[in-house]
Amino acid sequence: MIWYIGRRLLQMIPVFLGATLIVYLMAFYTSGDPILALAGDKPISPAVEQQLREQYNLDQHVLVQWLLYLKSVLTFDLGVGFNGRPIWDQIAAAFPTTMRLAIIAVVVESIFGIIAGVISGLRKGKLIDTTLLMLSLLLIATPTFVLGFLAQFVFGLQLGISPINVGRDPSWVNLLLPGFVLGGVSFAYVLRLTRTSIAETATADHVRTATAKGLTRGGVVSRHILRNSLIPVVTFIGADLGALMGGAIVTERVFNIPGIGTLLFSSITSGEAPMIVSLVTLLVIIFLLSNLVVDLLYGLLDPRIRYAK
Amino acid sequence: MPSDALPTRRPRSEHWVAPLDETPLQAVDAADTTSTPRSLWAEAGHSLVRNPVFVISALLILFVLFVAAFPQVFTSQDPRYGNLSIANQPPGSEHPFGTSRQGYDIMARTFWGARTSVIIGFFAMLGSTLIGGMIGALAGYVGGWFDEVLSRITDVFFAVPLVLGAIVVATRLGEMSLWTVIAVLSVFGWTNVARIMRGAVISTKSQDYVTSSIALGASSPSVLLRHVIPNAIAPVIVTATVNLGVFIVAEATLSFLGVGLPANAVSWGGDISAARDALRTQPSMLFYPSVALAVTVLSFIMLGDAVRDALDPKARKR
Amino acid sequence: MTTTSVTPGSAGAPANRDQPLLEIRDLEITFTTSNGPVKGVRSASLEVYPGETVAIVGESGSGKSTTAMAIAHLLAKNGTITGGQILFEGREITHLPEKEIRVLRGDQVGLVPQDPMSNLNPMWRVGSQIQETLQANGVAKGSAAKTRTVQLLEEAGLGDAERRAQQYPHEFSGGMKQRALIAMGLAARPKLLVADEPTSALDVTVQQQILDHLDTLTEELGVAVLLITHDLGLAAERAQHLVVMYKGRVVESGPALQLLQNPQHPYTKRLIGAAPHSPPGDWSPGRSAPRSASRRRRLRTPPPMHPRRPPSARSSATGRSTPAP
Repeated sequence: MIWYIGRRLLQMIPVFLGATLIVYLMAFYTSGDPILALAGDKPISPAVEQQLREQYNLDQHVLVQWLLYLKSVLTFDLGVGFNGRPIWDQIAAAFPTTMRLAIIAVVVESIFGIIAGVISGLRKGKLIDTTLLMLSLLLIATPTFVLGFLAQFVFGLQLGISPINVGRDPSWVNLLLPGFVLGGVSFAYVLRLTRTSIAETATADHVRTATAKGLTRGGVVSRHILRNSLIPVVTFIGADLGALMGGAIVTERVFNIPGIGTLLFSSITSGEAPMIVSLVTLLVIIFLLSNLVVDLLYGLLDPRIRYAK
Repeated sequence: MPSDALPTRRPRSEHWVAPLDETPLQAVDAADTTSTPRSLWAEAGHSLVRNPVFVISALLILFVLFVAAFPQVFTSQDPRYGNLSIANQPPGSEHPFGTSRQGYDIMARTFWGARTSVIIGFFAMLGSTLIGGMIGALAGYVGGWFDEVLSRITDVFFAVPLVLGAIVVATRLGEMSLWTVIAVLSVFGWTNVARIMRGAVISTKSQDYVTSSIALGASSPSVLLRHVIPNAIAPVIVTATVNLGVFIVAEATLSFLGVGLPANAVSWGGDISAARDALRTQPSMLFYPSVALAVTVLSFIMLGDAVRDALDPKARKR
Repeated sequence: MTTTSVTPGSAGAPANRDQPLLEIRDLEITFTTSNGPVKGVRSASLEVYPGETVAIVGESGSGKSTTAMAIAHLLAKNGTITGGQILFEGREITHLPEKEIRVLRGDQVGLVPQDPMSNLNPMWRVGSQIQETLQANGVAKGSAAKTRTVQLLEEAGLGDAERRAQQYPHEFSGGMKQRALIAMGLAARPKLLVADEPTSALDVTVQQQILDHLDTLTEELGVAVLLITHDLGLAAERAQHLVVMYKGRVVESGPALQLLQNPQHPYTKRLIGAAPHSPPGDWSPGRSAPRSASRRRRLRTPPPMHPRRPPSARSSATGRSTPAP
């Protein structure tokens, strides 16, 4: 098992390096002059320019710049943002909100997605299956921001049971509706994945053998169909945590939630490249870490992997 | 044990033979003439035309394509003509879907918006499938360290989510044209095609008939073209079809975030974002473009689903 | 013999030995496919008497497995019984609701499936999968079930059973998996064991061993066996009664020896002709059938340490030193 974790960690390193390099190059060099990217739309004095050149090591080779930048990321020393506050402080202030939002979304997609997927998979071809399948397709076909507007329109304007804008320091309850919206598309994917997996496992030989032993239908489903089917689902859900934090940019914008996404959005509009790179790097790290957690869970779920060297 | 007494106790131990005329013996290698053999594709086509999901989604796609090609057939209004004096009108005979806050005719914008979405969806699908298909096929076919490198590159792009990558590029480029949006979506959206292509090539490569044609002296490129690609292409087509829908959604999301097409472009994403401030006063600004977008994306995803089921013989039997 | 001792099951005291344990009459099974309904089995009839071994022989696709699976309603989802009757101990079970057929599964009708590789759940320890059978059929619970599981694995000829019970299927060889499956099929002491090509996925050397072991076990327990096989030689060696199926129909059935020596249906003749160790018409009493008979006699002689119990005996003790009642 230790070997397994170690190998997975080693495989993560080139991916992490590659992903940050791409983001770094894109943010600073797509338009030629990195000073422009650093300064945003404001005209700057030569003194400030010199300071930026030093801070971001622009005199060095681009690869060295990138490595030094990585070092600053790993030591949480990201410099000061356009508004004068340290970038890391801004991120640390916004992070918990987005994390809450993503957790709500993951819980929503896991619980509802798996339950609906199991029902659908076991009743493949029946009315309930077709209905759930149509619902999932509809959710996938609807962009998250449209879903958000619809939720605002129905729950905020028509029913009046939820605020349209969430505002500062949101509580878990206030984040509930945005969390459902954020998890909506993933719910649909979890449903479809679980359904396919369940339907496939249900026809496996060992399930018939389990039935032949005299187990109840519930016993067969819970012990022999569910656990075997959940591996791809767990893989998806775990990897989705990272993707959801990235997707939060849309949900946070719709509901005006002061999280990572809003920070990202405002830095996009003001052209604050260091902030953008820092945030995207953070999201890539979260994405990679959640993938690693999935791999470990995978080992817990599947004894064949647990014992493989 | 009681088995001692067996098997002599079997009361009716007679030798029984079925009437010969009822159970005629066939030649050992007799072909089953009751069912006509068809190729995978013919079989798939046969089951597709009987699948209502396929028929409905195909008809919807044809309709959307027609709208995208000839939007003027459905509306005589100019989608770019905003007249503030007629802003926020409810649906009426002049403007069947009403008018927007800027005084645009919502119906005209909904129909003309199809063109933008279809072009972006189609070309981004084409671009990403070419990139992903080539990288995946090469990685799977060549194998070894080459595969390792290409797979890691795929992982790198996979780790940067589609919308995030597009945001970073868009920030630097400012407002993007139709073709830059397509390029950005292609560059960040090819990874799932590559992974599927690689998997399909590897599994086809190890199949006996491919091994045997190599043994018979066929050269590598011709083997790749003749056997591997045609068999690997089915899952790629399915993924590409679904991706087309995903790209349309992604474009709309970019427009919503203000990093997509310029504000004066006629697109569903832009129109839906504009509806944000008019939820209370003019809900039809949200409704019509959203429904149009959802129906379009839905029909492509449904088509992908139907084709997948048709190409999977196991799923078909169930 | 690796077996230490064997508990007589419920099969020890059948109500009526002259009544068939299992009776299948004119069974018809239809599969719904994308090309319309297909009859997998038509008018198949056979009987299994308590304690005897009956073999269904036929090529793949002849409907032999389908027929056997229909007994405990284990057909694939698209397969249904569209005609005929299945009687178990004289009771009609053809269209029994799921709840009632479940009572039969495990402790009345056991199954040893075809492919040991795919028939154990890779996610659970082998022991817990057998334990589950004991619990589902109310044979034993908790730690008693654990102990019993180890005994069952030993009984099936698995060495070091205590450790083996704690392992996962992927740590077992094919032969070991099949032994575990045999232990599982017999765990609740069914009256009828459906053995669906129990060894065709295994090496020839292992095949013999496992079949011998299965024979011994079922013999001692008095379990009737419905053996499904494509191998006529193997069937003749193991079963007293043969049923030959061809294209979904029973074409010939009768006592093993008689059928071999005097095949009537052209398909049976072809099967015998195709058997590798015997040219057509050469099934003399000196060959396989008597070998089986002599082996059976040998097996029926009880080992000294294992005194014979009367058919009515029901002992719950399982230890090596259990005295005869």
